[in-house]
Amino acid sequence: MSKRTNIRVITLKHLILIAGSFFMLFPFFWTLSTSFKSLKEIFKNPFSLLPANPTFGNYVAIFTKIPFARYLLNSFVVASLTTLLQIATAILSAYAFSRLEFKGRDLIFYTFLATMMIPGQLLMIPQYLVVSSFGWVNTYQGLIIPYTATAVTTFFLRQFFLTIPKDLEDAAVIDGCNELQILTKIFIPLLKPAVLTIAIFSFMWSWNGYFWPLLIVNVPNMRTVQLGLAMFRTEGGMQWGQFMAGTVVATLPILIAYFIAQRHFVKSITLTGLKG
Amino acid sequence: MNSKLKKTIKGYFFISPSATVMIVFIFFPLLYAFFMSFHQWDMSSQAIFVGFQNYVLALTSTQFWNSMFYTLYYVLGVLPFSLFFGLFFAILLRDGTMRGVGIYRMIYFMPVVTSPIAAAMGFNWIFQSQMGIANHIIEKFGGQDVSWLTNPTGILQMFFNNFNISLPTILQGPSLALVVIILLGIWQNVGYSTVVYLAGLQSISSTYYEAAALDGASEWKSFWNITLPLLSPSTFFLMIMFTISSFQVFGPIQIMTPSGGPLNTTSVVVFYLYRQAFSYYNMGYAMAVAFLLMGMILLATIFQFKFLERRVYE
Repeated sequence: MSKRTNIRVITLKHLILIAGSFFMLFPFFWTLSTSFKSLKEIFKNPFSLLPANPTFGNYVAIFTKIPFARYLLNSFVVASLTTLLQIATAILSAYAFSRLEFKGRDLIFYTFLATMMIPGQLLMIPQYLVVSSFGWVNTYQGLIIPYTATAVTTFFLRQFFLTIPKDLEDAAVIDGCNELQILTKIFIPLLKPAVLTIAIFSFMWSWNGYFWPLLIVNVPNMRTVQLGLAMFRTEGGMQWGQFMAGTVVATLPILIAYFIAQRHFVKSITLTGLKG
Repeated sequence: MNSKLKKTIKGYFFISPSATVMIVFIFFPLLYAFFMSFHQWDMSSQAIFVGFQNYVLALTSTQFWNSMFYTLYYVLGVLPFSLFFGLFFAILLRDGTMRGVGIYRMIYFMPVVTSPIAAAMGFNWIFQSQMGIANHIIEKFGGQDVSWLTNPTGILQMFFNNFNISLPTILQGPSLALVVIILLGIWQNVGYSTVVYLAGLQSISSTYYEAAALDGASEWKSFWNITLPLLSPSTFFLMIMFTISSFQVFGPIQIMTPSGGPLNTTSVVVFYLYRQAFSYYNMGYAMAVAFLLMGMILLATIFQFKFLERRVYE
């Protein structure tokens, strides 16, 4: 290929990729732009792409008119605790599945894995009944506990445990360490990056979850951010400026986490096929 | 105590937290759901055993089959475009030394991490019939406002309306509202398939292309005969993932068309079963529908394994 056609090809590539980026970014841009417009400006046609007189009015409104701060707090509590517990149970079982030998190990492991095939909605109604029989409707434990063990997290960590050479443990056993010490002193420090990656995913799944909170929360002050946003949309009439402000606030934490840990995200998808 | 028993006890000790949660919140509910699907139950009175009646009712209900059709429209709309654009962008981004590759990748992946609810809010606003920017732009170019989310006519029927031909219901195509929801699905999937395809492309050794170039193969030919076959494992993986997730779409439907769309044309299976359970309290019936959905997903997955995996080049 001559140099000139090469430059042409690269320019064309960039043009197409920029057009693609435009479609990917436009909904974000338009949401953000609308969230800073006053009611009057939102209804104006011809429309303007950027707010003429940017205002924080919509943001003030969602934090004063509806308990959006409470929704955020609920989501933070639920997502962080879910992540923490999910990682804890997964580390223990991934260790057992990859390192300990016991009767029925593989059968149990495959049974765990098979749960990934069950569509979530199939289980939700009986799960709801179980949770309500515990008296956990409208509680944090109701939102958190059912999600504290998942096959995906266990499977993901097990794959990483398998990559650690056995010699390391043997040395520790000779030094008189028991399994729990081996796990906390050798495995966890070595697997910090993997644990962090899966933690970010767990947090994201939990933060973005919608169907489960929809079922088990029916009082406003226990709503998570996604549920609060959806309810606000169906109950709030035509407050588009406020809807968009709510959408921005609900999305920002995940986008920030994504920007910080971008490399981990992409790498672990290519390694294991985790899905957003 | 012998050491084998000790080891077994240790093993069970380590898996006990996960196992407890899974038994209580997955395995027991699964059995319970199955049991319930043979009962009639409204959550307040005593459950009545009705045998296969719920399944029969579902399979003979027009509403159920319509919801299956809309789900199928959704899956068949989302799947090919998510794969096509993912592959397209992955090929453009293949050269890691190109300027801005990292930024493009970051941008394309942003919709994947966004919650379906938030994304649906944004799309809902863009496609509002009176104030949405989609219609503002159409007006600007002298076009007529489109009622994106309220017109129940299928898009194929809309096209054939120009010739005064009316199609049978099955062939009328998804309503515009469902098309908008399909667009949203594609928008959220493309970044993911781009990343998966990029990983696939990186594993193809350049020697294949060099050999093909020596044989005088054109770029198009080597794409068709080398790239595409060697990417088939990625394609297969993506098809399975997207099929399973698309069959379960719910959140965006509820945000964009809270009542199931014009003439219920966006009422996909999960939406239908949600309403059966929590608006009409037909719990047993809803569970039967859920099992039928699981059957559908299984069938689709088995179909893909049987007929497509054979073509996966390994």
